[in-house]
Amino acid sequence: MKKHNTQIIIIGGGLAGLEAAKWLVQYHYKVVVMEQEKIAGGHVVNWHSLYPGGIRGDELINNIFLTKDSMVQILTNQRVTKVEKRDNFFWVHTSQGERLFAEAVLLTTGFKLFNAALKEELGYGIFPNVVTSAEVEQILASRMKPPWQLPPRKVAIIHCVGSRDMKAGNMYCSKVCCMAGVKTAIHFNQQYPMCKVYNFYMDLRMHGNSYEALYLKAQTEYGVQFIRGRVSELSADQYGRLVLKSEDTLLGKPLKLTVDVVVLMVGMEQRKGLVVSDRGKELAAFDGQHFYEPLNAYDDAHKTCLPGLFLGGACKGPMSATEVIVDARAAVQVIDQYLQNN
Amino acid sequence: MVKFGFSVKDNREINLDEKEPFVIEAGVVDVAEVDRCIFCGACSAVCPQLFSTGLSFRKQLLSARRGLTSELKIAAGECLMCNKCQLVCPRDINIRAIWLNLLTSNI
Repeated sequence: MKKHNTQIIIIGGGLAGLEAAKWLVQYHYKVVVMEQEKIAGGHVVNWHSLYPGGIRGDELINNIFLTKDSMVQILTNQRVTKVEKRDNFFWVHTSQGERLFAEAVLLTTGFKLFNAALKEELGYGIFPNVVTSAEVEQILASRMKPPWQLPPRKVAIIHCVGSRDMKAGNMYCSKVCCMAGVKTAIHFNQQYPMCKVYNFYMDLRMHGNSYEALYLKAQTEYGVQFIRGRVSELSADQYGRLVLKSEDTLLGKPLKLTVDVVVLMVGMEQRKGLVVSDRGKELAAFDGQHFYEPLNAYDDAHKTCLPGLFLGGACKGPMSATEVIVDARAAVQVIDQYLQNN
Repeated sequence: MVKFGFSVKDNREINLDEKEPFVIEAGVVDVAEVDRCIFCGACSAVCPQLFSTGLSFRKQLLSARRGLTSELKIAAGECLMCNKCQLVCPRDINIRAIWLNLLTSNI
């Protein structure tokens, strides 16, 4: 049977890559996962909890490893610099100068977080009590030391940092931060019961089953205040607390609020640094300026302009963990179909 | 005094540090019920009084949440108690009952 010798390289050992690997070996393919970090798992392992159910991120990754087959080979500390298409196979080049053979390549390179320091007015990197949503996840999961000594009494969560922002160059909605913001507000209330949380939002996009219920729970059970308006100015007072200025756009009045901690819900961006070439010619579609575009968004959502090169997970655009899992499994089916026909 | 043709308005800033936002007195208003409000404006859009007196439950509730309660009593007096607002409220808030409670209370 040909299948056993067919090598598939998955670039990116995050949730999408590992999930796809797990299912591809069930189809009896030889799978190699390339991960640039020391351990595989991607962003998700650092997440304190994932909505809607509240599963821990590392638990989700461990669930994949439990059913791991020996046919999956995970190469860590391997940064892929170039994917080169030849007649009907690929060369995958690493930064160490190695070259790996593959009959099909799946890109699950995921996303990188928006650099919040670019939004200077929000004080990230200037005030220690301004933290990003990713850092808060690690703090709540006790993986990182919190920058505050006393339990915070007032917390502001600022939505849409680096998303839907023309000046930041990101003209899209990062989709997961609305829910993550509501979820973080609840977690703050659970860990610090005396805490009052204010969410500054532009729109709240509760786009799924049980999400609206969580929003209602945040309002009624935890008394989270949702203020429609974008924070435009942030400064520190003499006690080191943070003074926010915003407009309550529903009332049309300016608003001032002093808080202990500010959480910035940072958006998702495409990673740069991977070159895809077709017989020596570099493809502009993979320059890392935008999320990777599949052939179409409907029934060819995993194929690219290069036959044999597939996309999975959040390298195609912002996705939640649940969507990534579904997308990775669907990609497996498409890859299997492609290899059967070749 | 020289008249310049304009004057300085009162400070309109909401200061959430001075006024606790949760001032809607317990007992008068069911706090758990009004916490459900998502400020969609369906109640004021359907209100027959919005056009004549500018009555807006959404606005009054939001103002009260931000510590501005001065207009609450006047607004309660403007309500016709027709109950159209409760019919359209997506979060099922009994707005008429809230106005009625505010009207009869002595806050």
